[in-house]
Amino acid sequence: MRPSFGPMLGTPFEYGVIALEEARLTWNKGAAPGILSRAARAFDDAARAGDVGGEVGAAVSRALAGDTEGATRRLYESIARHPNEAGPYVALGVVLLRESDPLAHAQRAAWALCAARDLAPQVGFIERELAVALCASGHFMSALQSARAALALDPEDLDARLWTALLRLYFGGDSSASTALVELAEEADNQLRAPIFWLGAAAGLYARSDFQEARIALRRSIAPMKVGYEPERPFVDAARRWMREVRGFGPGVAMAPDRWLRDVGGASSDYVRARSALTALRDACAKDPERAVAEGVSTLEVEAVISEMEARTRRGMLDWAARLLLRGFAEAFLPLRQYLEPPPYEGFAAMGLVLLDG
Amino acid sequence: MTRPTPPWLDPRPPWEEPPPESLCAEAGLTRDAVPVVRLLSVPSNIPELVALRAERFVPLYGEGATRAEATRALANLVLALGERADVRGADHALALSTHKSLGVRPLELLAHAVRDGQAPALYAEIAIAYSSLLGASDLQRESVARLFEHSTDAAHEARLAITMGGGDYSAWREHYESLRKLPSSPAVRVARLWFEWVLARRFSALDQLHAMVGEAELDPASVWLAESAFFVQGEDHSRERLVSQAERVMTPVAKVIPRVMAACARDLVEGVRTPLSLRWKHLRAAAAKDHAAAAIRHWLAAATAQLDDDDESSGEALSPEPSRAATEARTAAGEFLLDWFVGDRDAREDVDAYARRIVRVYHRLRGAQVFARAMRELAPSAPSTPEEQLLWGKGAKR
Repeated sequence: MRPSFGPMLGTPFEYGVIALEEARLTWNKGAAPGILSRAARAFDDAARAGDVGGEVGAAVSRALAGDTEGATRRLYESIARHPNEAGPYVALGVVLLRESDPLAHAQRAAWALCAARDLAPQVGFIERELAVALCASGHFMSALQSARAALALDPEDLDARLWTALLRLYFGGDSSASTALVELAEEADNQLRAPIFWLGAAAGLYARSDFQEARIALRRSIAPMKVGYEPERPFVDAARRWMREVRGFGPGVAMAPDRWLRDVGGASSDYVRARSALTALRDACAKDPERAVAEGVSTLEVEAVISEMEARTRRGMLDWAARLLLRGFAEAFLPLRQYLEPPPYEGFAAMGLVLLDG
Repeated sequence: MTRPTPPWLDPRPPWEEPPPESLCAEAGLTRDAVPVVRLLSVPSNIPELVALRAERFVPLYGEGATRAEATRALANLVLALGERADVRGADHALALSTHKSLGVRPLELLAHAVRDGQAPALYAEIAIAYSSLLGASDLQRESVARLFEHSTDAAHEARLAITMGGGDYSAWREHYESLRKLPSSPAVRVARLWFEWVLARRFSALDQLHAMVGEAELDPASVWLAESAFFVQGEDHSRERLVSQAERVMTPVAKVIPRVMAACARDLVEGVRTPLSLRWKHLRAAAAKDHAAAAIRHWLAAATAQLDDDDESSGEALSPEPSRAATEARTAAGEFLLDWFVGDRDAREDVDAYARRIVRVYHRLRGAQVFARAMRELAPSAPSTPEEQLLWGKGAKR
């Protein structure tokens, strides 16, 4: 059950929170005109009284209204004034991930959210957003740890489950994660969050070779966008571009037996030829062991190098898949999410703007 | 054909400046006893050593871009690398390359003369071969060759002298980058493929080298270079072929500058002593490459190939540029470092050491080719000067 929430005490701050809440509730590809300005003015008054929450609220209101640059500047100033408060760090991470080019800002977002986690441990929202930021900046193992930490705090967290499943699929090579991605989209329908989750489902369906279904899922993810409406075109194109790269990657997971040889570059690839040359060298050493010993070559060592090469190439393939598809997903998903959805209540709570009961 | 007179000859060339008193005193000589070195002595002597330290020598082409100076360069090579040459003859001859007070001005003058057609390109090639035959470092060879890279006829040799290197400072990658930008010629292609196979461990380059050696008209030094690549692969009888091909290149000059042969033999022996070990190290380095990077190249190529049916829902064609994630991944996967700097440092260093030796021999072989051609083309009907007599007359037979 979702916990109830309420504004913190303090009049200008309270007005700000109420306006922010109104913006959240009426969010339809952005807030209704005027609400966020009202919130920003109220938070400014609170900030003048020395309230950190006011500073954070003022910056977040501006970011939601589209002024992410101004918001980022304000949050850095706030961090400089209050380095031991988690709120500004969380807000900075959230604002940076809401930029139109999230990959460019992911590293800084990850830094801010890491700092926030140190100051406020065991907060599911922070762990989940940190997982997103780490994924977008290419630190996949840490991202997986954060996503798992978020899941440990709230096993029902849809976002954490989405990123965990994606990481499992592309970075872990776990094909069963594709089913989780599809199920998540259906589950998200109940929470009125379906469109963006269909983007993940498209990946899952494509991995399962349900190509037609994957196309439909992609269409569902961009369904809220008006056809031919220029301001929404970047969101649609980013999703389509990502899907095109998913198709280039192909069904299944990297290093699976049925695609291993193709992925590594075919029979004439350096991998295959180096491997067969090493095998030939091993045979030569076995035939003439004295000469091999004299020249410092051992059959066992050759065997070890062959195994190591194979293991490293398999692991490397998953790394490259993650670099291409997980970062690509973040590139398409995050702008879509910031356009269609305001930050959740948990986000405002982690920023210190509201208190959650329960 | 009028050639410009070197301005430093008038009123008095810098090499005629008297030597420092302290230097003479240190060697127990009077100033008058220190000669101006035009040709090296065999064996070397104290006054000559003092002269070299005091910059009392005529540098390479110091007296102009003339046939006489080209002949003097060849003569000094014979004196430095001849049968009875001084042990440090090569070092002394290298010291004659440039004069401290003139720097590379004499060679610049030669480069101008060659570019303007006032001197044959062979003179420039002799200057490059001079440093190659004497075993100059990458830096020294490049500093000479760089002056001639814009002279149409000498550019080919100059560019090979510049780009075919990198072992001294582990700058293989930078040299290969320059090599890739050169206009294609059979020798340049062989050099490029040699880099790709020996140092970047690309098997496709080995196949292409095989095809080239079978088909193209290659100079003997390039054939030898290709053979050194086959040796790395552990081909049968490659060592024998490597030696016999080097001998073939050296034969025309073996009598005149036998010490080049000895220097090449030293490097060759070191390089080909343990073929199995070299093959093992090369394969270890090949195994240590990021082979998985091939996968992302493949995926991205497939994504680009699927542009045709890109008409999801909007009905509008999607522009061909990839996502930012794909662009960054492709840049990283195409990054040169992936192929060049492998993690297995021990193996890589041993292969690099082999490559360094091979490059040194290769330049000596190229130098020998130029030397042999110069001996043919500059031969006078009747040797008259001491240099000519040394090269073509009684001096050479001595």
